[in-house]
Amino acid sequence: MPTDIYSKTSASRGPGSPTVVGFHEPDTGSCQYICIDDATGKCALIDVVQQFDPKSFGTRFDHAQWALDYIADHGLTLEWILDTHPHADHFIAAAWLKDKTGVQTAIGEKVRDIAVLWRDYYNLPDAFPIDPHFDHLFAEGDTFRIGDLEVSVMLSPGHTLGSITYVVGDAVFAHDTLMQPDAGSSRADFPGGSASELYDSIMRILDRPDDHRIFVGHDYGTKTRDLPSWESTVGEQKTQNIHLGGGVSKADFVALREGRDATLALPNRMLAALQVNLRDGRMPDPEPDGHSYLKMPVNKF
Amino acid sequence: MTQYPVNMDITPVVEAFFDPATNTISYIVKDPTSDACAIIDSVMDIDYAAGRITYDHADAMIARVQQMGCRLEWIIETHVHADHLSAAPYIQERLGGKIGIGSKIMVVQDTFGKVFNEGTEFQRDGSQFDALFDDGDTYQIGNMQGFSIYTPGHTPACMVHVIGNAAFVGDTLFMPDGGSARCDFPGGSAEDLYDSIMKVLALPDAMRLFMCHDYGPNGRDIQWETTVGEEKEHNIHVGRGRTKADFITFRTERDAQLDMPRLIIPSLQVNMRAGAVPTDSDGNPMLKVPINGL
Repeated sequence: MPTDIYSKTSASRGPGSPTVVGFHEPDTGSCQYICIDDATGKCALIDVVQQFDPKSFGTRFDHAQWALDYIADHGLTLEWILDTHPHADHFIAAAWLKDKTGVQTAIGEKVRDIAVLWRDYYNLPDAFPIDPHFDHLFAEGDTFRIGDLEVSVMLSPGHTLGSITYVVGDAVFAHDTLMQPDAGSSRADFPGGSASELYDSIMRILDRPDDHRIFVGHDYGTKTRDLPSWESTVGEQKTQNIHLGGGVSKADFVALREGRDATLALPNRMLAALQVNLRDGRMPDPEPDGHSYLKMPVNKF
Repeated sequence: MTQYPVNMDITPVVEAFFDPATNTISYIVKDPTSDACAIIDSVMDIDYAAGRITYDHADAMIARVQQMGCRLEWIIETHVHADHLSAAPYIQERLGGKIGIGSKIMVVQDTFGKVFNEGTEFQRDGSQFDALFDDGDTYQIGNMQGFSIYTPGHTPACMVHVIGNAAFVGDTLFMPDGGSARCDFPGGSAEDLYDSIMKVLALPDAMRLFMCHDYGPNGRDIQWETTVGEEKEHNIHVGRGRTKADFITFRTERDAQLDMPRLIIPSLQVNMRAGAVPTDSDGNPMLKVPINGL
């Protein structure tokens, strides 16, 4: 097991509250989670990364393996392989995890609409049928269980049009909506993104009780903080978030977000990542020579 | 050994254009006695994350050629670059000129045709280029005679181009404090590179050498011009009688520690087509990325 993977455990607050093990993939600043029901030993994986070197286009599964090892070492049973959205900055590990464990995968149902956008960019009109690639496609308000823990699904568009938030008791897996209070919010300028929708999605998350825990999808550290962090509370976000704290208006947030997004370069894995993530993290079918190839559209962005 | 038609009496005007994104140096080489010129190792700009191609670097060179009122006769590639994309067809469309590269391009096309699983429509016969140079071939730029020296090692198709008292060394030598080019790409060979460098160092000591790359080692400013004499005396990898065996050991060990160049995948696909961007079956410009292929 790689020992250099940075992880931190957030303890359960009692019945109905999960223990959350967060672990960090430093190349993409991705925060990945094991969400555990202590009562039954059942758990779910959320947003686990398939590492991808954007120079050589090689892939690795160190973090996914770390998670499986953690589950085995702690005598846990994996029940769900969950993603919140088709990420633009890393490949998802869902298919690999499913192949290893046989456990069901899930993502939001509106990923079908995201696939429509990307079929056009890649000129692959028949690609990315979402239904056969994921075992469950969740809609707003759907519920399911991890052991005895009840999970509810919130549609949280903005960063993508089909992002979903998993709410497990007092734990909110907010992915790329909020970032840590000292980092603000996620960008909303990818295809199908919307700063206005992002604001509304964040407000719904912040409607939850002040002491609920928020687990974000990315952290890159800050100028004054080297170590990654990913956990905050609703109350902390409401008062301290640098993009939203103290009651920033929707109009001001949208102006700030759009102004900032206009200055950001695209993530260096985006063109590669979508065609993999819309396939559940699987590579395209091999060509007759036995190798898989990604497509990289030129001058579409 | 080939007898090369060295003529130190011709001093071409050489203007360098440095591309900070890839640390490449492109050149305009002008005949002082006519309006003829050549461009060597041009660069097309790419925002790799966005897949966006632009032409600021090439436009600056085109504007300079037009400003001097020059006729572009040759667009020369020293080799199929792995770290930047060539702008040769873009420049040719605007200024004319013939695109030339070493005849061993066919070996490179064959190797990377396989890596990218190219279909039969991708010709592996060098026909995308207007001229294929063999060792010792000569050509004219106005009244100047240029010739090519076959210098494999970094790639199997590398050529050094010598025009009067100026030699364009491609990726063989770097500046004396930079050493030599890597040899670990498919078809590369440290042994071949040593022999090729010896061919360059057999040119007259006063021959001006123009680098294709400089990374400003040890924090110094970017430089691209030196001489054969300087390289023989001071090159940190091959100077002062370092043996071939030592060089090969050193080069092989060093290459094992190097990352793939950031732009290797788009560079090879575009450059083996003489700078043309590949298209999918519907004609959309589309690069192809082999997973775990390099």
